[in-house]
Amino acid sequence: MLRYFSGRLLGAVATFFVLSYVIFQLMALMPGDPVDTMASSIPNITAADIARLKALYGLDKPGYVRFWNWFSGAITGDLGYSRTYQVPVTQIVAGPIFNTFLLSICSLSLALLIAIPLGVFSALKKNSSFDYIVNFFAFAGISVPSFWLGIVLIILFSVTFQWLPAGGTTSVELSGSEAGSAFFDRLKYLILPVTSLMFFQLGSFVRYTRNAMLEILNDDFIRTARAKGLDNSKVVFKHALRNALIPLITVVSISMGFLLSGAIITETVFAYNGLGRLVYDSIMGNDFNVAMVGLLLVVGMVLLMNMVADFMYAVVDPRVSYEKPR
Amino acid sequence: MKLTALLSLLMALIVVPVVHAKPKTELIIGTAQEAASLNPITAKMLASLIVQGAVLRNLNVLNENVEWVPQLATSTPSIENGQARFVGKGKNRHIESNWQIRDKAVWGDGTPVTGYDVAFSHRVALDPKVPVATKQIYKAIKTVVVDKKNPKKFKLIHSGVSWSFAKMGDFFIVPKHLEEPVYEKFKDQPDGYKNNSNYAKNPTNPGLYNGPFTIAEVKFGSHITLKRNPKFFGKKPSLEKVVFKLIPNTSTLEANLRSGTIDMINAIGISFDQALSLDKKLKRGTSKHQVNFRASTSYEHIELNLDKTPALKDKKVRHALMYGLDRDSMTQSLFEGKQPTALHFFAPSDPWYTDDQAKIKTYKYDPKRAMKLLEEAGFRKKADGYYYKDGKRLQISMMSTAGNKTRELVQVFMQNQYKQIGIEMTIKNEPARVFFGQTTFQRKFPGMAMFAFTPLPEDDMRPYLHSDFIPRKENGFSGNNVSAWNSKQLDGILEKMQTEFDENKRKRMAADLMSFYTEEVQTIPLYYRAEVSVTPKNLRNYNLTSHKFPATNHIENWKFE
Repeated sequence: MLRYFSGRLLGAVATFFVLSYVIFQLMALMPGDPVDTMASSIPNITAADIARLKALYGLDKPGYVRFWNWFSGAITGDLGYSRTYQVPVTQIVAGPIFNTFLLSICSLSLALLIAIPLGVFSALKKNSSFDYIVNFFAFAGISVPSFWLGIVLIILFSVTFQWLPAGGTTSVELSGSEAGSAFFDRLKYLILPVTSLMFFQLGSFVRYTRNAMLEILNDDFIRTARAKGLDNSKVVFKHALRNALIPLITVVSISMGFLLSGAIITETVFAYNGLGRLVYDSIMGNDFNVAMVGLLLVVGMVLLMNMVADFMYAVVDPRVSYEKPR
Repeated sequence: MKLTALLSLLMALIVVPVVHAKPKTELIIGTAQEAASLNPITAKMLASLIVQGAVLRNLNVLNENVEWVPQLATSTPSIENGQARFVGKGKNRHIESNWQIRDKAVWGDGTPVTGYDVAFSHRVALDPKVPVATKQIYKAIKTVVVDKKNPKKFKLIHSGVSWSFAKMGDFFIVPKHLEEPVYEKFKDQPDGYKNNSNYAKNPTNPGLYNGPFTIAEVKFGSHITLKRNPKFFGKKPSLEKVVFKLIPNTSTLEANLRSGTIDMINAIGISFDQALSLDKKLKRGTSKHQVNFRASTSYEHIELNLDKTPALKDKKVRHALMYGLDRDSMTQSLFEGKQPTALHFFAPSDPWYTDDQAKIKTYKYDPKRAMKLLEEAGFRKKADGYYYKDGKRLQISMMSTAGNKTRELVQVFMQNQYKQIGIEMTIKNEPARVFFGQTTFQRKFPGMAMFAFTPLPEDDMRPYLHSDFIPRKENGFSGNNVSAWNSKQLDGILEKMQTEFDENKRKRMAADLMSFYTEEVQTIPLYYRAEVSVTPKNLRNYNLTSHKFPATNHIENWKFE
């Protein structure tokens, strides 16, 4: 198993390197480099100014040279400076990474906590009113655009009832205050974006759990377990659910791979200071170093979560083994 | 005991409303763009200029009445007031101007603002390793000579002669005592000063600011908090705290305003069409907010590419485009008159503006005349309703920024109007970074490019109209003369204007410029864009400025009633 995962890790590192080069070159191919864009907005900029700025930012060098300069710095921990904020990239991305992670993990955990029981009971009570209602909301969750749901939540809970803040990450007044109030303040700002993000995940998780459970419940080993006189809850939760979790692990792993990037729309609608929004803004604003790091974090996360998923299969299903057959 | 409790309750009931009735001293401003960089020398974004307006003062600035007023300086030098004079002859002829900084002007840490700060800022800005987008204003000054006896006094030795030598709004001053050690340490590294400046590393140091406020907190991607600067040399601001809160989604800015999360939306918050709709909503109800509109110097227009569409080389065709477009009806129906029809590049707030028909050519909507002009240019209408010449349909391609609702509405309006006179207009829009980064400023657009430029009142128009500023490969595609105006007559007027010190003569030259511009029509004027903001009705002394120097330059006057 160790050998298998060492191989996977090496493969992931190689993939990461190749993808970092591809992303770098793709970004370099985007029309309108930072100096071109700047020049268009400054009427009296001179040719000398443009040449000086291009040389200063290394934009006059070929792509592979620029990549190597960036990469050799990155492996020593120097991720460069944000062109927009004029501070080191690490300083820029640290806060948003935590914020996005918090938002995504809260919504994912809540979605799983709600979706798994709903999916199980929906499968157990197939074609009942309960099943129809759960299905209706599951499809609604999948179909409703997150930006629309976000705006509806803001209008309802922020504008009409004024219970929750319409946007932001923390209150301005409370920045840096004592831990207790800061925790509740953070919570207040998380409720609406988490709800908005969770609604979509909830729908798909319910559907996956329900379908997997329906399939498993018709399997022979479940019939055998029931015939042996096993308690129904044991049959459902110990035997059926454990097997039904395998497809769900795949879906959850893919979702976790996008933990750091999948919330761009939600973050923008709720003015939430997260990584998805930062990456989007940095691409649009030609903030090359920040965009590179943001995108590579997403790539790294996807590769890592794929490995975690492989590991989890072995944990949940004893039939899965990464040992060499003897 | 009971009586005491009752009295306490009564006191509470009386006192609480009194406390709440106190005017608000905190203001949360919603903004769609972040003031990413606070160093005034290296930052050029409008969002940064808005924050800088509240925390930094320049020697002088253009106010909301479009007058240059001194800020740090005690007065603005001129030849007339004797604070400036001509020196030298021939090529060495230049201006020397004497300035004095207000005695009470100090940085937030109490260090006086002096001529040494001006000289240091000048040196930093001219350093090739410091990424200042345009060094023109700094290059226009050869040397800063500080009076050693009184460092509050200094002399600027200008590089040449220009009537606008004393307009110092873009000359930014940073504190030498804090920034010089950083500059000396990092000046040899590219971007070294910019990345290590105190404005980037320690932006809450009060010594970096000399305006009515200093920066109390910077949270990237979230907000910037300002607090009142007790050492400000000017009027004490009524507000104690101002927060710029970033809400990048313009649709949710309105919800944030209505929920009370923010108090106002600044000039880079909502788009014009959103402002128009919000204005109607607010007027219908009993809102505590109002939408402010002011026609600005931002000139929305269409640049024509005569090289790529040969039909446009014929002046008659260009005149037909003007007569065939009902611009008054367009601005009325689409903008309810809040973005007035443009006659030329000088906005109504500009002292050089004229609508005198004796001086400029104006074009009243006349589709019949437009069609007659097309026929005179050799075009013939066919059964499909379009004009043709040499078997080719008169077709013009129009490009602009994708996703800009106002521009898209204008395009549809124009397409329909031109179809009525027999011209086919096709629309192809691009994302702003492509459209501005390459298509427009490398003159790759096929026929028409719609966008805006924002000159200052009484601005030097050479970058937009002089042949030296036609973007070409040889000049690194610098300059904004996208229509490729190339006329010796025009170049001559533009050059003479810069050295003409007689105000009346300059005004006449400006009229000549407008006359030439409106007769030749290499550019189709559309409208002057409105600056919009949303403010609480009880916020007093807040005024949109109509130009690039933002309202925050007068933030000390804002107060709640």
